[in-house]
Amino acid sequence: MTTAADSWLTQVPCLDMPDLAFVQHVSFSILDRLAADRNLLTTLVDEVLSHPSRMAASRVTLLLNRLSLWEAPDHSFEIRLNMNPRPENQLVPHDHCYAFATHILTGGYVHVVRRRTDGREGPFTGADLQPAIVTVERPGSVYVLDHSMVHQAVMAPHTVTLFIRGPRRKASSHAADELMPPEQSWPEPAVLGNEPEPSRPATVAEYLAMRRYLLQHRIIN
Amino acid sequence: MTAILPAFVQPLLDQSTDPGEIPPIDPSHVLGWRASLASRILSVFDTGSYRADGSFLAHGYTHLPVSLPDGPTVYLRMAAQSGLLPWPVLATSVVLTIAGALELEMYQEVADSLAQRPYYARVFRPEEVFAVHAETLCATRSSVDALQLLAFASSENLGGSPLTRDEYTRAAQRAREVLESVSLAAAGGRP
Repeated sequence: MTTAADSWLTQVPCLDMPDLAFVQHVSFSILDRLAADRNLLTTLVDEVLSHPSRMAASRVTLLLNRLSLWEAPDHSFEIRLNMNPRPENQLVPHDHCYAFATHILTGGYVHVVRRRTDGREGPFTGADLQPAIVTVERPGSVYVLDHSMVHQAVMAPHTVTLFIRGPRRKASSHAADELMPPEQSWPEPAVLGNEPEPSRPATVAEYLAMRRYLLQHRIIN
Repeated sequence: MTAILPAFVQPLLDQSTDPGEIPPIDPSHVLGWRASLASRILSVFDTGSYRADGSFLAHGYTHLPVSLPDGPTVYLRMAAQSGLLPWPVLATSVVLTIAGALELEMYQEVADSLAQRPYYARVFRPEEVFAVHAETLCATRSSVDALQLLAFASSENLGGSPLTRDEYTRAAQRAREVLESVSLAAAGGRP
């Protein structure tokens, strides 16, 4: 295989489905297969730099760093590799704009899924949340979460996860404001003098550092 | 906390509703506990039919009480039905998977539950742990070879149908065989 475009990834069915059970079935299969395919994972990481859209979607955020490895031609899903967690910031309960599934490659975390007591749409505060499901995630664990669910994942330092997200379901995600990490803990701006942002595109130097990290931890070849 | 249960169980049972609270558990410590737990449970698990009191069948599982010298209310749980069945959670409950697989789905509203339209789903393999908090709408399905340990934060009456002495004896014997198998495999023997 020369590029990821020649791989089985192009054969994955559309994930633009409201049925989370279907998303679970397909995404678990993709993640399990990719987790076991070190060569393809390596190719995907190597290709990020030569695909501007993947590079633009690779980000440094207040929670962790991520590489955008692949977006389906029909845009119904994107595969990411999450790493370099900032556990001190990860207490903040938040939701996502999309359903997603995660497969833990290394490390682990306590995962708290909370149920909302104020409906399932729009902003929320900590007072609107009750604990629901709590798991201890370790290498090999896989789960799927709908975009309306609120969660926290406080990761061990060397946690790396494969992450597949479905299509966007809402304009913006939400977080409990009172538990948001302070601005001083956000990523350094990419350009000296700019304001810090909770999430920004990774620089080339940061991409190279992530790739080096993955090599050092033998996640890629 | 009783020495029978792994140390990570109590922080899961004790978690409050504080949205900033995460149980203080190191994931790397949640490994290698299954065989020793099986051995410890064997030391206190009585399969005599007079122990049938307190055993019951509820939401697709046979529950067998395990008497601990101290600590939470604990049952061994085995699948009695093959379908995905609602689990009405009345108090914080911790499940430790000793053998087999368990599928867990969570729902936002009763209508989602009836339609089996999950908002969270996960499959648990042997030697995994999770907690479910009261009033969470969820359903589970376990494989026929599954054996789980269930610990409760309170001793609330779980309802269900009591087992007969014969039913208890058969279930307890099956549970004992699984515990012995798990315990023996870790000791280097093959069941």
